[in-house]
Amino acid sequence: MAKKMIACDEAGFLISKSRDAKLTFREKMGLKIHLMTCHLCRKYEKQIIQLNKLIGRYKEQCTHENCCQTLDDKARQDLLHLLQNELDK
Amino acid sequence: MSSEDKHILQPSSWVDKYADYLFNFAVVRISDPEQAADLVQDTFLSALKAKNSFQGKSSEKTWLTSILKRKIIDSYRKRKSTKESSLDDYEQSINDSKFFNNDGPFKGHWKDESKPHSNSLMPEGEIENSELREIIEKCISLLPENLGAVFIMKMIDDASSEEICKELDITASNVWVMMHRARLRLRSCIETNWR
Repeated sequence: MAKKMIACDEAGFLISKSRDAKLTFREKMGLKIHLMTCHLCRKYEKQIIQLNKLIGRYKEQCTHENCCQTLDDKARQDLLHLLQNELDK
Repeated sequence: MSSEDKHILQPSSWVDKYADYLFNFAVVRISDPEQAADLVQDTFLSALKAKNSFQGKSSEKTWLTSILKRKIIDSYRKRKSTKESSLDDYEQSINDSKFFNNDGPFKGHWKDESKPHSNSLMPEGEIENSELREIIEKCISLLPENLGAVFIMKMIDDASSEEICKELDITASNVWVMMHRARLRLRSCIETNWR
């Protein structure tokens, strides 16, 4: 049975899947062959790798202890009043 | 555990100490700042109601954050759309027609208007953290259906596929397809916003 060459949509899916799970041997080969001849998917793969890095940087900068977003004054006041009401009950 | 090791709750200082931290935590995961603020409010209220169940083994902050996490997941579950069940058709789901031709001689190929343009999304050495944050948060907020929830749980919270499946009531292959569709959109959004 002749193996079907994979197209870009499947290649893109496999590039993404390879970040989260192990590809089967067949998937790996199919992707490798496609990437040999498709410059668009080679670009896509590099961009997805970079996307991961950018998210990693974002994660470090804006989560954990670094609060990039803060409540505005009104929301904060509302919260204080609400909590005070509850505590006074 | 001695009394020095046990944490105690001090609700009157919660807003001062934790409101910004919790708000930031929520907004990264929910995108909508109004909804995020509501969740922070709900978290404090739930925490007050549940204060007798606090055992002091974790810090106040950890405990409050875990209540918020639960509320965030509940909001993801509410958001879930019926479209997600159609993801079980492999061919249909990987051929996202926004990005790939789905019929004709170029079936499965990149559409001209959606193809990647270069090896790099942006010159990452040149971008400020605040600019990066803006672009990423904007692009994540534009993700449709529950793609954002899956992407955030995986990439920001480092959740395993099993956890995501359990919390959002989806299959492992749904997770892969949704991550793929999220990445297609994020890549495109970031490249467009940067150029």
